[in-house]
Amino acid sequence: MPDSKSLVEEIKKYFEKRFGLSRKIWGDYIIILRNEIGWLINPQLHDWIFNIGNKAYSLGIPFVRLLPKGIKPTSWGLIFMGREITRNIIELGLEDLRGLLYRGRIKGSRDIETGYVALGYNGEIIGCGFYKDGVLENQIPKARRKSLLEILPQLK
Amino acid sequence: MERYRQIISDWDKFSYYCSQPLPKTLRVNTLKVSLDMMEKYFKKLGWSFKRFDFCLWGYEVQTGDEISRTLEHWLGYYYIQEATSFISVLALQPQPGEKILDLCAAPGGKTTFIAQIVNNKASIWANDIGFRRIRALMANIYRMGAVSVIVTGYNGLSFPQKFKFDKVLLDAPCSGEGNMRKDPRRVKGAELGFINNISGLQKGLIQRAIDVLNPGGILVYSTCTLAPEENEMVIDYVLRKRKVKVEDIDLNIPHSQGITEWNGEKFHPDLTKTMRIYPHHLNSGGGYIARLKKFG
Repeated sequence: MPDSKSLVEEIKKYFEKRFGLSRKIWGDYIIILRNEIGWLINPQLHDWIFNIGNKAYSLGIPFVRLLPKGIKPTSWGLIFMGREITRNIIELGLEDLRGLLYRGRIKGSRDIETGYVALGYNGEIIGCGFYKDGVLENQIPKARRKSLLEILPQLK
Repeated sequence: MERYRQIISDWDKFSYYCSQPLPKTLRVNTLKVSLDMMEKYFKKLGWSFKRFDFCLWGYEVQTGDEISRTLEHWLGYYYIQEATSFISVLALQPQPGEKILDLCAAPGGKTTFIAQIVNNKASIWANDIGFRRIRALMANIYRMGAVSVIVTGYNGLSFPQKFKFDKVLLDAPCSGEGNMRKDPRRVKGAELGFINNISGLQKGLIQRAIDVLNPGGILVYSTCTLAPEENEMVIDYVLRKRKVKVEDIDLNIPHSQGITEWNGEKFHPDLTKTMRIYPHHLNSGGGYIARLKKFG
């Protein structure tokens, strides 16, 4: 396991390479590693976080999960970055979105490298997916998926 | 509500508005979207809209749609928020660089509004108790993109005094009488026994809120109830218990002054600087706001 400084650097590089985030965006934020989550916070919060110990339930927004097999972007983090994301976006039509949310996966070959992707709908980033061998898997968390399903009939 | 007839000068108007449905109101989240862009979305959705007179980010919208059921709401482009609940945050006047505590923060409408006003450039601490409340609070913070907020679950009565803040918002748990337009069961008013009980909790919370303020710091106390026992009597109590003074609220908003007498009991004359919001003032629910400054 790399130390926290190099792991944060790895997270930044991952987002730059995989999702096309600009290097300069990190000037506005800090990534703090805690409880297997990389939290995206504003720099002003930094001092407090060290004083508060492990009493905080949440720091800024959860940006990545640190899994044994590597970095997994969160849907919250991808939605937050929104229009800053320029690469590996899979834009979904309504039927694909419906299928993905109901069945958890949809088939369809795309010119995208294996890995996590940003799901797009109507020009907006709506969460995280995983693409491999022509299959796109939903990675939007259950509660968010449920609330998105509830508004599907209103989407055009 | 009948017991408030003596303090509400325009009783007929008050009664009329209490019986009307609440307008649909929301706050555009400029952390995620510009006002221009959101107005374009409103038009695309076929909603007509009117900006609040007193707040740039507040809108009343007219539509038959359920305004919580849109992709824009799901993405955090707006927060469904009643006009009254804007006021306590505006009265706090949060500034970039400040340390700000929202002591009873769930579900997060006011916390995320503070983050928006300072453009995520302050240190904001949102606290509440209870797993479900905290879960809702966190979900709203993430949805609105408030990266300047940390969340804790301390009991507000024993919030650690080692942490000090420039500003504290105490939107206290209350009997909720001001929500009579959302919940018609509240029109008859809350039980006095409940009001007296919760008033004790409010007095405890406000003392702790002041104890964690830096000298010169600002506390905004607010409720969504009309009961003087939960409003002026709490402020009158703390003026005697802690070194604080009541400040004017520098907002141009229709309101009634706080009262200085209730059921024969007289309060500090500065309570006229506090605000009572009745449904007819803003076509909203009801509430109460006081701004205090700590000295010494």
